Amino acid sequence: MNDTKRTPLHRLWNAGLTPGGLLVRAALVAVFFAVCHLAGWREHTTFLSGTPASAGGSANTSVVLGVVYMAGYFGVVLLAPILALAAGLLFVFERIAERRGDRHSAAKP
Amino acid sequence: MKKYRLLRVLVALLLATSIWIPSVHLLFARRSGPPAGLSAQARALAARHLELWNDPRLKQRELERMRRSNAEWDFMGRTFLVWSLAEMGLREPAQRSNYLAVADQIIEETVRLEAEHGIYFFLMPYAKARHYVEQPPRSLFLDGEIALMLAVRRVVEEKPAYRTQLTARVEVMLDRMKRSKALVAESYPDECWLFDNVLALAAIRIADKLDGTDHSAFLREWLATARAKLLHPETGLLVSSFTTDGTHLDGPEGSSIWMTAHALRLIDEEFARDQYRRARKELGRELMGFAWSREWPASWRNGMDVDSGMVIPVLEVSAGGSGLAFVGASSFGDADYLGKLQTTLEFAAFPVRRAGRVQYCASNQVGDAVLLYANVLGPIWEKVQAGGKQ
Repeated sequence: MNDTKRTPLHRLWNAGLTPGGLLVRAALVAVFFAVCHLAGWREHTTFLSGTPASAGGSANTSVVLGVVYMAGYFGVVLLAPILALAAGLLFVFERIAERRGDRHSAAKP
Repeated sequence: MKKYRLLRVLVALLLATSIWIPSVHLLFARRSGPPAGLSAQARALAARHLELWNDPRLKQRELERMRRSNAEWDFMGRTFLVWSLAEMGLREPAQRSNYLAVADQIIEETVRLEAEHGIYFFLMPYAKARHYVEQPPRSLFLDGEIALMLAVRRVVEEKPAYRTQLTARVEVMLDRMKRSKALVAESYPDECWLFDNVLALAAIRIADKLDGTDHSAFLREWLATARAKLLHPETGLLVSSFTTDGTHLDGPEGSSIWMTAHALRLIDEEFARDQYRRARKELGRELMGFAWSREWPASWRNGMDVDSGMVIPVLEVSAGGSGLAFVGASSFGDADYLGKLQTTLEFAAFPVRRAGRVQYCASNQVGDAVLLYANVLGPIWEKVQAGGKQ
């Protein structure tokens, strides 16, 4: 199948299956976290102790912002390093596969 | 080559996961501080609390947001901080007068608020829903913890006005405890808490040491009664709440047992150590360099409440239980568990470090005060356990 006939979703999926694609995803997770952090949402994680971030603010809003911040934080601490490591490993796997492919082609008469 | 691309990606992700996840704890592991003096962690936690008590606006903001959830936290934030300041006063003699000045400010304000607004000011609203068995209404939650504040402050340095207050609280507590079949007093109407009763015993024990009184026979009788009536059969742990006749209301809880085991050391070191060992087995959990506490043992379940805090499913991580596990681990010198609890704290409690101060965003003032206490406890208990009158 020609790549140009694929949907944007297919192209996005395939881009993720390369070392560069994995690194881009890791960077996106980091950017998402940076936005949450710079927005000051870290203090909303106080909902974990059952305490609102401020005496007058809405408890529900605080919970939502706290959960979003936690998603970003655990994304950057757990997911992004895995994606970055996997990118490195995939790069190595592909180089090995390329060399094997080259040797295989050279061996053919 | 394309044929195997998906397989290669999956293998790379799997390998990366198996390398990274077991290594994450290394990023958050912190070396514990020296046994004498104050650790950097204790100093940073203390700086944040001292800032709160020196800045009326900050203090009001912090107390108001805690009171919105639970008025008890306002009270316990005070008591844990005073107990910490007393320990710090013994650890850092040069700073003793500064620490005691803040401790006295807190004690006097707390006693004044109780006198002005009555016991319900620091209790949850359901305290008014029924009548206390013992009249007039009093809460051992308040009497026990205020008595312990007065007592530990006097261990550091005598203050005559506090001697009278401590004696009066001890007499009231003993009178009410002795009138119950199980030798326990109420915190809420016909609801007695292990935490409060054992802290009351600790205060009585320290008062004996300070004032030369002798309630050792009562303390022995209390322990014998607790062994007979308040143990959870499946785990051998003390249950966390019961009625005045000793009927169990709740089973063992992490938010009670860790602090209770620590306080019991003043009454019976061996029994306290046995309770700690059982709590470690039933509630303490570790995984890949992290540690936490469950709120309930596997043999007894309950729903989340203000004491347990948020409980994360599957792993059963309890915010309240894990915070107080620091106290147990520190008191019993369990360095391995304490180190792993600290790693979890740095990983998942969202610390903010600024200008020599630290606060944990996932916690609140009372939670941070518990952590401070776990960091500094030791000298007061040692002094009380040492032979002779103070």
